[in-house]
Amino acid sequence: MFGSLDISTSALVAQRIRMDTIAGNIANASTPADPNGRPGVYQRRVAVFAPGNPAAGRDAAGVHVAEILKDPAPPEMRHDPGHPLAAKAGKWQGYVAYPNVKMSVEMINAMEAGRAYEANVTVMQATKSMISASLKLLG
Amino acid sequence: MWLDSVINYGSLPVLEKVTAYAEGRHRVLAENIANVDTPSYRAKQLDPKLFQAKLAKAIEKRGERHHGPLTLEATKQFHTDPQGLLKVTPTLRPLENLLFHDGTNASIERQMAALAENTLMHQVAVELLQRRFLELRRAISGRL
Repeated sequence: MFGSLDISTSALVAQRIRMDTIAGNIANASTPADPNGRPGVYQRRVAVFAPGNPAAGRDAAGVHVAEILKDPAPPEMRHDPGHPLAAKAGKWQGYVAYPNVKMSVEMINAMEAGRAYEANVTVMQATKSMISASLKLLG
Repeated sequence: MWLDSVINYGSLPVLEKVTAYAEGRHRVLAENIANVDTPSYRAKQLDPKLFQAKLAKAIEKRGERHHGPLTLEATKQFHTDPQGLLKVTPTLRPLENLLFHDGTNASIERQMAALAENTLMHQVAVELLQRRFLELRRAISGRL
């Protein structure tokens, strides 16, 4: 019975990590430079879930974040010739590369992660009510 | 043993099986809900109708005596281990509708509904168990 709590906890952790990557994507939605300040556009991060809960032991049921992938989609090019990072020559002359973060997609994912988190909290409440009902048998 | 005939009498063994089954099923449902966003995860299931049918059969087989342990017929989804505890092994849920394009057949609504139903079934069984124990306690103490 207590194992069910572990399963739901692993899902809460996974959904929170997913929410963190979404927050990172939205925060960097208009970052045209890499962490060292060099031009190099931010790529959208995606958390990929996999069944199983290695934190609780081998073969433990649950879910975990297997990896955080970078979205290889091309950056969004915006025409802004006065920008210091604008391309000087070539096909994209006068364009600045912005991250491939789509605000609508991120918002929908954030909502889904929030709802999934809530669903797992509901499961935990059900688990708790079952445990306390069983404990009441003691008198 | 005298106490054994008290404990294994009437509805007590039945309710014990129902509680154990509900706890096993709760675990399966919690796992399905935890994996609602996992790519290529196939939901697992336990069929309560199968369990109830086998339970009814076991009660019938126990017959008129109304006492003695229940022997549940083992199936693919549950069996009784040598210690007499009920163990469940979920099977994969059949693909009743189109898969999502990440390869899952997740259905959060159905899982939550099953969870609510299962919690209530557990509550009923525990409540009835509590009443049975209360009756026993009254009979033992000889006072109301």
